[in-house]
Amino acid sequence: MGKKRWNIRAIFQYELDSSYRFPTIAVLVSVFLIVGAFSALTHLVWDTEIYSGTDDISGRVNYITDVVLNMGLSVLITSISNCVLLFIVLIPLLIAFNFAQGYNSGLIRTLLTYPIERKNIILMKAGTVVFLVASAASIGSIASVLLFVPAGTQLESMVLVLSSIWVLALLMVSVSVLVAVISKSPLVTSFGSMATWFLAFIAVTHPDTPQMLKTTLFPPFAVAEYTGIGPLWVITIFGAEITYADTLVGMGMACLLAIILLGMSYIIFKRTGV
Amino acid sequence: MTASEDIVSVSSLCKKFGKVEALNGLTLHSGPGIIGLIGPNGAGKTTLLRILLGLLRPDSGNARILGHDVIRKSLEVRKKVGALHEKAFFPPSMTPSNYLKAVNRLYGTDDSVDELLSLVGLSHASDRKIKHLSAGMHQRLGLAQALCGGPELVFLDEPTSYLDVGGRDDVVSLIVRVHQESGVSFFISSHILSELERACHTVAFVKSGQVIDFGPVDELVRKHTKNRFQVTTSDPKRLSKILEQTSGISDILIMGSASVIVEVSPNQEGDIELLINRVAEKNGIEVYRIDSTGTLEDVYRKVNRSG
Repeated sequence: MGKKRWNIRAIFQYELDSSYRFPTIAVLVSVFLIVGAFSALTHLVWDTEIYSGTDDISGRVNYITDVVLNMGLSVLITSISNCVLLFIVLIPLLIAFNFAQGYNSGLIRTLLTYPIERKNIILMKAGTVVFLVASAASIGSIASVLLFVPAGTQLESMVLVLSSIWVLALLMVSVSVLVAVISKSPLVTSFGSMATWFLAFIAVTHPDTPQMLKTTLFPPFAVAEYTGIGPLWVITIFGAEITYADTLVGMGMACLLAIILLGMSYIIFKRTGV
Repeated sequence: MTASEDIVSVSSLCKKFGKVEALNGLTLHSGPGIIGLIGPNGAGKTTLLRILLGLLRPDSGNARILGHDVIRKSLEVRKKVGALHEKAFFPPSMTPSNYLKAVNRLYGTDDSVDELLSLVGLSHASDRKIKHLSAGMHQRLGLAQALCGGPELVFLDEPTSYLDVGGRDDVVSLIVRVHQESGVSFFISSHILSELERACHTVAFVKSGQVIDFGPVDELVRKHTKNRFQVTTSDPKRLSKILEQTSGISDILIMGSASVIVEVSPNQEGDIELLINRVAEKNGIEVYRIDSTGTLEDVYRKVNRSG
């Protein structure tokens, strides 16, 4: 009999092996690469400044030169902003089919027969989706920047932008996990989570929604607003100016909210018969 | 057997699902070996197994597996037990070999997967995707994953229910072999009584959420079927009708086209041959043989009716 060693790495390895085989990961990364490339290639098309002031040719050239030189960060933010829209659909589906579906298929029952604590199953299911989706979005966005506009991105800004997408992925996953443990239904999980985030999206575009709520629910938009170089549809979301501190507080609040939601999911999951 | 030697120890276990009482003060204490859990649908067998595995919380009562409380020490219990659920799900795109490696990692062991596959007779399909395995192979994989981590006790919920006769025989033989070779105890819930009779040392009859009888298989069969006889006759249908109206006969069951199972009232066993022969002769029915009979299935029918 071999020596018994128990570690959390085995749990994540199990999840990757059983639910996210290589083709799934490749598809995820490819999707975000396409989003990144699309964002980079269409970036200038959405910049209305380029089309204005037709008489001042030299001003327009200067503006375009300036945009191209600083385009790295701008492309990154545009790509991340587009990824947010993809997250609203993708994350609920992944949690629905790899977690909520497990109640019906017997996967959760089988898993709970092995020596894994319930909190680790929540962490395993949530963590794997956050890791895969956020890293695929990061790889896709960075690749689009490196491929099309290798210059013009500062590391500090890049870290801020990428952190915001990881925080948002964590928050979205925690919402979907909570819906999954309450409903135990893939259909309710997918549509319930999507509906929640579409409503949240509509709420942040409303001028009366408190700024704190906006920065908490969609940290990447707050970062776009703070840098002021994101796509137009994003930077018009916030009425007032966003500071660096606002973006950090928003991300902190989002993390806190995600932890609370995951904690609630664990309490419900622990009390649920399987 | 003392309480400390019990591998399964359940006292006054109650569990309700809404208004349905799945377990109603179930008590069971069993030592090591192959233990069978028998009962009709809805008797509470699966609920009991799920409580023992920590998947469900009982409303009241307590349960211990291998000396550990199943609620408070659920993780300790699961490190020492394996389980194969009814309609078990395994990731369809993985191979048996990879799946068992992944499960071994969860148990923190580096046991040989090849040995496990060979033990359950699945070596030839070790690299086939799980979705391409037959029902029998799937159950073998289920048994193999239940044996990962070197368990002391394995729970099997209807392990042979989707198998043909050959597949059922193989699985039962495998259970007996594993028990004999490695001393692993099994706790099996099943409807297929002939297999349980072959494999189990002790059985518990569960009905309406309670254990209504428990003991070694041969003792139970002796106890419940000592008044049971199989009568081979030319006209079982007519004989059973006539015997129904005869005093001293407590139960009659037609078996196939040539025999009747007859249960006589207590203290009538000695006169059974005379009684049946007399009745048959009077009605022109030929009786070829009268043998005492008793299987777990007979016990099940009797206990189920009387319980």
